Amino acid sequence: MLVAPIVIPLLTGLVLAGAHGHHRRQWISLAGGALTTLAACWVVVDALGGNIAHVQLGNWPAPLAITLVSDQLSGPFVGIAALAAACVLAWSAAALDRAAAHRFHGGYHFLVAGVMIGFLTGDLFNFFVAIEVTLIASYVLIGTATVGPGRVEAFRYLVINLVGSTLYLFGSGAAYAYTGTLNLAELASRLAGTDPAQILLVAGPILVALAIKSAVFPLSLWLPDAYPASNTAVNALFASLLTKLGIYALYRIVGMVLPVLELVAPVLLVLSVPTMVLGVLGAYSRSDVRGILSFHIVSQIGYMIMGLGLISVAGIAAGLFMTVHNMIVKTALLLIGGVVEQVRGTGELKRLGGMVSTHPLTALLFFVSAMALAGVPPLSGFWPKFGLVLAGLDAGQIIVTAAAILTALFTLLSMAKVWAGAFWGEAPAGAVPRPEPVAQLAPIAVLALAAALLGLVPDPAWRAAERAAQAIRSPAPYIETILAPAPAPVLAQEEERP
Amino acid sequence: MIPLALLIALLAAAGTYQLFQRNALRAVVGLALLSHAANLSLIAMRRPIGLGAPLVGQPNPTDPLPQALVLTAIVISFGITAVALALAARVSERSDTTDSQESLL
Repeated sequence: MLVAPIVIPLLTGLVLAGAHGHHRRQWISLAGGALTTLAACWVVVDALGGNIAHVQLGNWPAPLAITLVSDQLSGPFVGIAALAAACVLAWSAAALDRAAAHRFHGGYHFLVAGVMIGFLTGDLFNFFVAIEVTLIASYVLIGTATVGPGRVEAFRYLVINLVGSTLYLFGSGAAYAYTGTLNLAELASRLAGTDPAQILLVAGPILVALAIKSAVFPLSLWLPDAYPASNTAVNALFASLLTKLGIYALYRIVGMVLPVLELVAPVLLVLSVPTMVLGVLGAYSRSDVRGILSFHIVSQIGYMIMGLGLISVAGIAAGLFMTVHNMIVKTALLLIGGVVEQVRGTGELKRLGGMVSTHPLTALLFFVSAMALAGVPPLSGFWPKFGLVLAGLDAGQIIVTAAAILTALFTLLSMAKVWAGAFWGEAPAGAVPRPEPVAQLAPIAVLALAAALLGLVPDPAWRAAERAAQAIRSPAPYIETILAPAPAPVLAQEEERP
Repeated sequence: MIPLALLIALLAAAGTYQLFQRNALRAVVGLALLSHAANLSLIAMRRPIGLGAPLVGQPNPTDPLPQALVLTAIVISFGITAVALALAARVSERSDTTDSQESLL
């Protein structure tokens, strides 16, 4: 069953490649998306129960086969990613015109498949394959959804991400040379107790590669220009899935598998400050809805690496909660940005206004999502920020904690800028707004409802995040479950050879 | 091993140099060279360092795993180079030349 969230989107993508007709393609795509979400729900329910489910592809014993694992860390990521991606798909079915939909659907399913491989894989090299599957799909999506001068940004996005993948490949080669294995569980068990400074040679390139993928300052400069240049569906899909795959890998590989977290943590904390602060200042300087929101992606990444950098279970749990909350809220906000562009024909704040009276539903959904992003209680963003501040004070990191609080205030300010520019005030003269697109608002409402629920009833999510954080800090159950059958005799032979 | 290491360094250096040119096509060539450097480094990471075929009964067998990894990486970089060339062509569509006025990096 663990292969279902990977195989279903791959098959859907393949079927779409041979299918003709707008409506037929649309239905195949939506059905594939729904099935993927169902499979992901099964994975997340199984993982939250505390079960570490794993599949050894090809029936080889553990360290030899390609391992797929869902545990308390990857399970929730699979579930939330599937939810956010399904909402983007539903929105795109309602909003995109024929030509744009034609280009979007195929790439969408391959991208989802790549992301699911990334979350579920238990193998260092297979994660590289996941990154590449995701990136090829993302290059096709961003290349076909971007027109005009934005194409230079799309090309820059491709170049920088490819350099990142190549660095990752160098790093995983070094990991193999150093340990003789690429299986994450076996890596963790062989490296336990080694001098972290030595492992840094392996971890260094991987860390830089993952920092590029997650858009950590100063490797984040490619993101804020490339994302808004594409269309809304692509922008929202990338925001919810791509950088979060990098964050997941940072938590899994740097936090759990390679025993270097103590050494790397100060670097993560130092980088989290400019990532948060410069991201939010950049957002405030933009003047279009999706530009502001895309810069915020970077700023929120700062919170996520701050959680990992705090090392404590409380800090990591808050960072994970932050990531999950962001996947939901950021997707909702970007889709609302798309609705604004659809009904008013522009996302420039100067040429917008008065949407509270003309489009009250859109305004309500924006208000809820924006307040959740800014961390206003009782919505979902409040709890992870509260947790991060508490964990930061506990660790004595006054400056980083102060930066986190400052960033929260600036986030509120830039959300107020969008609110004042697009929703309050008078509608510009001569504008003929289109009516509120209810079909487009439905998936956004699902996401906003999820954000509100996460905020009102944070207890289950907190406990899930704490269990995942404990799994990161004490990987023994993960290692034991996956390597349960004794290591294969082939490895013993290798060691005997002179 | 030393010639291999030098070759990897040379490929990585040439790839990096090409990446910093202002030309989209050159950047694609640079990326291809970089991925070749990474592939060779994977080959260099093999244990045991034999040169024979990795078959049972063969003398001095090599490690088959890096070869499998490199094969995967080559296929991936082949696909990506094709996509990158398509995007580079679209960048140049705008200006009739692959020499973009703005630096690409």
